[in-house]
Amino acid sequence: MIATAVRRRSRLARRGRWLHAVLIPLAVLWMVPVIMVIGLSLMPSSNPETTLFGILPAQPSFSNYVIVWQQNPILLHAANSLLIAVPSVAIVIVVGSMAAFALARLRVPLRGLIFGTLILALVLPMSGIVVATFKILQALGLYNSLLGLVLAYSALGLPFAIIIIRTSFLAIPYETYEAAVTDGANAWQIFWRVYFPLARPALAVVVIWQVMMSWNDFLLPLVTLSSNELKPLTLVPLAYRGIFLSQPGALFAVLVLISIPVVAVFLLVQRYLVNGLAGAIK
Amino acid sequence: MRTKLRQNITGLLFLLPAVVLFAVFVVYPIVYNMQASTLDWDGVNAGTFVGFDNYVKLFQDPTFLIALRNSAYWIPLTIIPQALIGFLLALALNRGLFASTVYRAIFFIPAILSPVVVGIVWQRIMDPFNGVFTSVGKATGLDWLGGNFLANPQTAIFAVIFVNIWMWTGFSMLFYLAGLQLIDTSVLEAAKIDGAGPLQTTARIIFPLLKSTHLSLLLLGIIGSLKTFELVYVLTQGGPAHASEMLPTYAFQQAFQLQSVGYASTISVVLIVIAVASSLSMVRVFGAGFISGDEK
Amino acid sequence: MSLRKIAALTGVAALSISLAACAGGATTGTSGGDANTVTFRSWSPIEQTTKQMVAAFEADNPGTKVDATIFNYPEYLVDLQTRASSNTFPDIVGLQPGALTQQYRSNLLPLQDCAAKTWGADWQNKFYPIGIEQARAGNPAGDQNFYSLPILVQTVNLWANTELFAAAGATIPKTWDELTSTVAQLKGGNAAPFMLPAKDGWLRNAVFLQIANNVNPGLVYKAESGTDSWSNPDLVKALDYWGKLFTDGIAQDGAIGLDAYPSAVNQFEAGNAAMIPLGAWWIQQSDPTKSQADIPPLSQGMSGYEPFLFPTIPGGAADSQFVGGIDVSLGISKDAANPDLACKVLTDWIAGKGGQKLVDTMNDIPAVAGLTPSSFTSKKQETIWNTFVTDWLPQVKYSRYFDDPKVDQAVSDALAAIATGSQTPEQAAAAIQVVSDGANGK
Repeated sequence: MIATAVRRRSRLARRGRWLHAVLIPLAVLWMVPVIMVIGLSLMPSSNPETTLFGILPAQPSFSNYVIVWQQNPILLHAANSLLIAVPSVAIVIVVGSMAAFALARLRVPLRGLIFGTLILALVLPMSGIVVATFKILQALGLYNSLLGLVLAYSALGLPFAIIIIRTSFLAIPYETYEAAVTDGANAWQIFWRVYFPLARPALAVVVIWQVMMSWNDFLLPLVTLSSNELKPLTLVPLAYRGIFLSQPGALFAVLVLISIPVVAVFLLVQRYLVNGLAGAIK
Repeated sequence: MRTKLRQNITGLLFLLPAVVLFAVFVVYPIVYNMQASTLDWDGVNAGTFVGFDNYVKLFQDPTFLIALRNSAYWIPLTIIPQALIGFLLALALNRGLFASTVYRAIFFIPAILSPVVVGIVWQRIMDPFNGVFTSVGKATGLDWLGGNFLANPQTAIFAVIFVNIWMWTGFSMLFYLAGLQLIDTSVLEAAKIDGAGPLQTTARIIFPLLKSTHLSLLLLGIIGSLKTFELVYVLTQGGPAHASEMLPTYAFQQAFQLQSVGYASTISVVLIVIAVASSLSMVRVFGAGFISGDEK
Repeated sequence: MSLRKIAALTGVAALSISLAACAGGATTGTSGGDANTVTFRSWSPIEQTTKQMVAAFEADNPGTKVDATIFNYPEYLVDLQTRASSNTFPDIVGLQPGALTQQYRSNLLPLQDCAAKTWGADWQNKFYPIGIEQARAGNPAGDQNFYSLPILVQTVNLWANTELFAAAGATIPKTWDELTSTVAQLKGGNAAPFMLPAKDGWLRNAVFLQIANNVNPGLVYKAESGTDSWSNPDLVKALDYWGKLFTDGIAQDGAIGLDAYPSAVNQFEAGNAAMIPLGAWWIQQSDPTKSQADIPPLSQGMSGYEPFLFPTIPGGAADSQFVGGIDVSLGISKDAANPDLACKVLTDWIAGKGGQKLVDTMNDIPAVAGLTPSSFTSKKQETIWNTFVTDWLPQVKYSRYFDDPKVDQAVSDALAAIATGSQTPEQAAAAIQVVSDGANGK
């Protein structure tokens, strides 16, 4: 079964070679702004001149990265970012797929209402809720704590996770569920052993989304964290973003550094997007 | 009866952690905003209760109407191109093509970048005096490239939409890649045996089978459009003269620059109402199965 | 986390939420904290400079600690509002005069006693007059308290790239007609003759206030306070001249879409513009404390720049007027754990050793007269510094700000509307009048 699938894919790939003729120019155009971001991060403050239609700095140098590295305990901030992102991803994955399973396969009263209110959390703009969220964290004694941020991001990320994972649970034939029930499995076993592993493509999307949200947000940590030892990476760029910022090089260098782990997560996780349900169910 | 009850309890237990997190971090901010929307309040000193005055004022506010109009542009003009290009990219990159991983990463990276960086870079690209478009336009004779896209009130919102499409198409691609994994390959094999060409298979079989992916993207797209903030803020600050204002940028300006937290909360509440209403109308159009999970 | 724990947490959460303050309340209380630590939050001075000021203070006062956090202005506003409404207000805060200071007045300690104790009864004479005047802008009638004290002041003015001027044989324009002819003379090269980064509302207003005061000095503030009208022909004329910057080909293409920082100044510093409207703070590009190799050639010792005032307008005042005001002022929280220590920090940064560190970086012009940077990197830099400190700032009479944030917004909207041709100067004046009337309670 798997062997035929692989053979089929390589056959498809061979037939699709002409696609490169479309994809290569498109990818190059797509990358121009990204190259500019990297270019600006390599622009030394001593020479703001540019070349190649303004895309690249005239005299690239790594000086901005050196400055950023010397002025900040980057590794400490990165560790804090990890302590926020990893638990919140774990919570969203487990709690989100549990809820998605309940909404997709279990009997739940007021299912429509629950699903509808989920949407509310998707709508809330961060700047509109930061004051209220701060008060909640204060009331819970989670002010100036990474756990508070983990819980807040988990709550805000859940609706997205539930919607995506539920879609993928619904695509698993209902007969699979019935067969498992007949075999005497309880709800938790069906969820954890059958459904959860099958939702890998959806979980990959959720992981990427949640990493992006918890890794990149800066408003909530800015307001709720007061100790320097707790600050995540995203608060570093703020020091290079003053109102009279004339040389964006250092800012861009930090932001490139921050983006690298997210790209790494994407590269790691995206391979789960190639072997999903096909062939696995029968 | 008893089993039914027990089943209900099992279901609720699965939902409980999510509901708890939700009740704490989502419901209170909404209640807080609703209460603040009835006040004339600067966010710091004691506010005065004004009832529905803020709402009355809001619906006569020309800037609010511009923001509504911009949302109406934004929703179809981002969702459709992003979904279409994302779908085609996903189809192309789901067949084990050489360097698929590299392509996927390239198209997805814009979504990862901080909007601050995206804003500064695209401003440099579209600056009609010395930007990339202008320089390329001069070099190739395509003078229209050097247009005043961000500076012209008639085009500013479309320029931001353009950047948004660049930024988020990779995300739609990711969605469709995940969606394509849910399609049973035997269906496609069967179609091929029946003599369906690749175009027919795509249009008649793959596209309809991705219905739930389309709907998820539509739902997320509508909500994402309504709450668009950072990209607009860094690219145009809602200008020139509010021409590219969106509801969250206007709320931010009112709350923090004009010290009108009450009025800003009113905008947030209206935003929530619009989002819920449009989600509910989606349910009407596409059937209740999408929400309640009774599909299939 | 077990379900029972979660359930317990929910209970606690529900209870605390019902106990927590609701929207709309004014919050009072103590921020508490350690008596030997002072917290400071602001958007300015920049972080690197603030660190030096903190180090200077801590070295002089062993056992004390200053916990400083510096970040971008819009986020700072969010942060300050959150803290004011949750009893976590910092001990020292950066403020702008007028609306921002007034919004937090009830959280702030009057500072005249602190100032008198440190500098003596005639302390006000240490400061430039515009700083003292603006520090109390917007106070309720009869309230003579200083809720914030200026630390940095500035003029708003134009800057020229002297190399481009010399290459074209042009001279610094003093009148509007000279401006238009100079622009014509400088056109055609790769550089913009007059780079106007009009995307930023603050910059539009600063330029407009220079024009308006050159047309009829002081009139614009009367219109703001309601003793004159925005449709006064002189103000319409000022709006009209603002529009001419765009219609007469003075500003570069796409001016209304270009932001000042970083895009426009980046180009100015790269030699792509001959003139730009900024202010005294531009001297910070030549920071003597920085490694000089990191500074672009034009900015080293200010070698390529020259400040000048906005040209006079035909039929207006005979001389260009000085417009400026407070860049940043500092306030102390009413609930500071140790107000005396906070006062010590604040006065040290304004006029003591910390202040010296600030002045050494030439971040902007100090609010008190008599502080001089420890070193200059060029004669030209010293001349420019002295121009600001001894010639310009003592003469500044007109504010670069409006007192009311809504009027400020209305003017910046109107200027954008004129620049894009969607309003005539007359329509714009009428639109501002409506908001102005509202702000004055009419």
